[in-house]
Amino acid sequence: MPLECFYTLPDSIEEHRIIWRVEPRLRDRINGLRQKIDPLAELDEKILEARIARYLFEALQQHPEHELLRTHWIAFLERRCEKVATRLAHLNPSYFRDLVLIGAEVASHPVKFFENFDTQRSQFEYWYPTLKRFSDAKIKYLIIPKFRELTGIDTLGRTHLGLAARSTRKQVKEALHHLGYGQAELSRYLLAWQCFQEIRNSIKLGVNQFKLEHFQNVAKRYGELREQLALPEDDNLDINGEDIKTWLENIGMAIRKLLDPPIASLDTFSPSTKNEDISLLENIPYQPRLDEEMNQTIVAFREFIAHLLEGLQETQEKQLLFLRYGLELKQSQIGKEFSGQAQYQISRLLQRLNNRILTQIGNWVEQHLGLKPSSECLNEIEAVLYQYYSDKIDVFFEKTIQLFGIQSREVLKLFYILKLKPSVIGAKIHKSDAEVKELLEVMSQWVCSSITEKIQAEIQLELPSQCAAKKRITAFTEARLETILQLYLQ
Amino acid sequence: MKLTLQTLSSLYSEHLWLELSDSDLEQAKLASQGYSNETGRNYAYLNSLCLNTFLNWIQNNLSLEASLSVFPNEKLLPNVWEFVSGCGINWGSKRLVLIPSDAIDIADFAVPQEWVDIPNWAADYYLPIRVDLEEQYLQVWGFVSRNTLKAKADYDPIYRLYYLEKDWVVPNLEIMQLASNLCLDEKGKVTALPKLSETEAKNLIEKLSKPSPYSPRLNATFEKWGALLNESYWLQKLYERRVQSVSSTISVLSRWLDNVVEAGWQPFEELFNAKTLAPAFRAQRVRGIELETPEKARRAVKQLYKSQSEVSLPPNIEERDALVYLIQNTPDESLRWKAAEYLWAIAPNYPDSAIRKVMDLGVQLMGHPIALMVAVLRKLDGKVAVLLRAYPMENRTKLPPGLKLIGLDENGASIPRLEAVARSEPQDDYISLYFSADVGDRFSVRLTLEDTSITEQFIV
Repeated sequence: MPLECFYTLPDSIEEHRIIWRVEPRLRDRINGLRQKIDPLAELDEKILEARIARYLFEALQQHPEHELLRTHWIAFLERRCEKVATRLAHLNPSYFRDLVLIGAEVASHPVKFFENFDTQRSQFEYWYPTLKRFSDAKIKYLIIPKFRELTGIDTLGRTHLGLAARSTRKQVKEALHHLGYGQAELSRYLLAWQCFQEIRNSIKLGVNQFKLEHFQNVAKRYGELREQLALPEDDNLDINGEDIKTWLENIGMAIRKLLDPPIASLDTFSPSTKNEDISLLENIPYQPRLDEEMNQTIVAFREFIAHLLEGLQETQEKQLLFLRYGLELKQSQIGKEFSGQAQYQISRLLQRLNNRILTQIGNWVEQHLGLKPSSECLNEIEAVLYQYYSDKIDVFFEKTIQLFGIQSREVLKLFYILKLKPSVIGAKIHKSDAEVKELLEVMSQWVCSSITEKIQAEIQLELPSQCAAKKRITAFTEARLETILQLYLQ
Repeated sequence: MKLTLQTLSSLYSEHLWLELSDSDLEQAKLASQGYSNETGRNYAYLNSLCLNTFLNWIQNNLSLEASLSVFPNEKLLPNVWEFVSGCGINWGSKRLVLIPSDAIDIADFAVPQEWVDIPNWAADYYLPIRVDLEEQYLQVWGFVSRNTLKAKADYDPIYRLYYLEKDWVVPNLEIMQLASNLCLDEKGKVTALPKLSETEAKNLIEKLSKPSPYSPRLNATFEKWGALLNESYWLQKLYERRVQSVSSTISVLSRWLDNVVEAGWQPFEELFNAKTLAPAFRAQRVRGIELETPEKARRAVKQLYKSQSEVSLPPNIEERDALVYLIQNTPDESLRWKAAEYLWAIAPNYPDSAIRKVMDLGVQLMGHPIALMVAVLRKLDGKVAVLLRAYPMENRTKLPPGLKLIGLDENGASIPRLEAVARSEPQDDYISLYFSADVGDRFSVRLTLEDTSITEQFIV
């Protein structure tokens, strides 16, 4: 999924995948950027993608109202939503469609989505993995609560008052803002809500048993504190218990509306056809010297990482890191992959190894980039490790696909790249719908086995059948297959 | 559809998920006694739950090269919860503060300013914890450094809370461990607070120790409040003053079972001796059933067993033990207390019989001398059965008509069906209420006659 992520939008959902359509205006802009940044087509695809992403991101910060810029990022977020939805739908494939539709709504506000992505978090040049992980995590946190089938926040069975009582301030603020409450009203509501929390905490009574006297206590407390709101007198009148009850119920209703939005179609966002100022992107300043330095830094950094990780002497250390960052297993799961050793021993080993590796990388970052180490920096370094091992796995996929015969590759291209239905493919290659499906299934399973073998050979570890590692490989095979095929079969 | 803990932890595998057992909840309930108001008790309950569970996890899962202790110390931290939520943990050279919340989402979390800007309290890292008491688990959803908190949080000056959005929270606690090992300075500078003089502190303590339903933290400027809490000695003094003002009149019933009884309560037999015993009690008789001879007692016990079918009379058992057996095993509260009364009549101080104490309320209720009896016994399921009874005293044999005995919950509201009223025709020898409760539950008993009333407070 190289640069396509910035110029394709979802067209329809078919079974458990999205059919993407190219937006010509977006594609033209990306091609233009590519020409500007890499006229001689010398750059590695991944570096080019990161470079373009950085330009687009900075441009979005400067021009948040620019529709084309926003659309590029909507396209990016839609791709990340698909990735997240695929992972979540592993619990139940029937969830995929609804998750994607909820994700479409999340993706349609990129400026707001990225408002807390501190550009200073991209402290060192290898920032793109950080942005992707930030996006994936945030999408997950936003999608899950809205998806009733999957939600940990079950709005069903909760009253408006109950929702108001048990939501965070951010949720309350978001919900009221969503309904168009102005700043002054928002301040008053938030204070009332805060007073409600204080009173709720001071009595051992469920909020649904609150009587008027309890709301009057909230109103009384509000009266004691409202002067500190610093609002004009007319905007800051005293209120009574009934008002408080109404306000709190309004909050609950607002939260319910926020969490239970009507699931729109994929037409939630379609860029308008008006001719906007297209010169903006064409005039993005290009700083060749700065970019050259950036390029060198990235190269040096990647070389350092490769040298550090390939240079590990102990086979078990390589195994632990691959399982942790490549297959993204938890410590407890990793422990189970090593039969014959106590789980706590493996956990301790992994902790020490992790400490050592992250420390060494942190030292390099401090030495070569002059950056002060911090928890956030260490978190970004982890993102780098995830990316490193992810790239390794991509190479395994590439090698596996090269082993397919011409006809098989053709079928894969027709299905994954041209997005044709199995029945249409069948008509082309003179097979039935069922035969094509079976063929695709067999090929997918073969890819999965091949990747498993390659990983096992790489880390010199026989993975037990039905283990967490093999389940992870199966899970990401389908998701990565499309990306890799697009890279190598175009 | 509520998700199981297993599904949630696989959806949010980057977070730390810790299950809570029934005994964890029970332990937290015990720890939540000894506060002046429900706010303090709620803070104590949530915080002790988080603290104990998290400390257990650290000890079992992280390689402990660094020392681990509670801040300020094990004795003082519970005092902190009289004023503010949060648990301080010293881990090697670093301080962590756990911030529990019962919110159902993790869009943000709120750190009280005390934990950020009081010099002796300020921490290196803050860990938001979502507590789900219904499903019994904790979700530790990451950590944030003080530097980041100060830089990125939205400060609410009215409630003095730093609100930080989820986007700034690092989900992986292993990173926090690594940062600690690397001795990164992520606390930043903490501005000193102006010192309070001894007089200022005493005056402030005086002002803030008045009983209130909330924490007194907003009743002084932060500079003065923070300076007060910055000194452990004053923190403790304020706590003691606040708790003292409410705790002296509360009777703790579960301690009665260990023979620890507050002043004002005396054994039933002491108060109702031959001189003061009303005619209803002069004979060994319970509700009209005579028990003065062994044979009458045996017959009465058999009849009691026959009146129900849940509990079978064990063979070859003496009637006192048969009554103890019935008391412990019957699901019928009314029958339980009837059996208890039989046992009191036959063998007043028999082991495993219910403990009963009585308080002479004098003539406070419109000149009528009334005594309040409270009896408790521990049930096999761990709950405590409570019997409340109002008796006439001195030479009166009947209660004044209209006298009400009412059970109230911890908020002072009447408990449904826990009210007894003395009749006028025929007049009553006594009126009773009974119920079962968990250790730590709070209730009050109110006796009311026309416009006068007396209320006594209890913790089970």
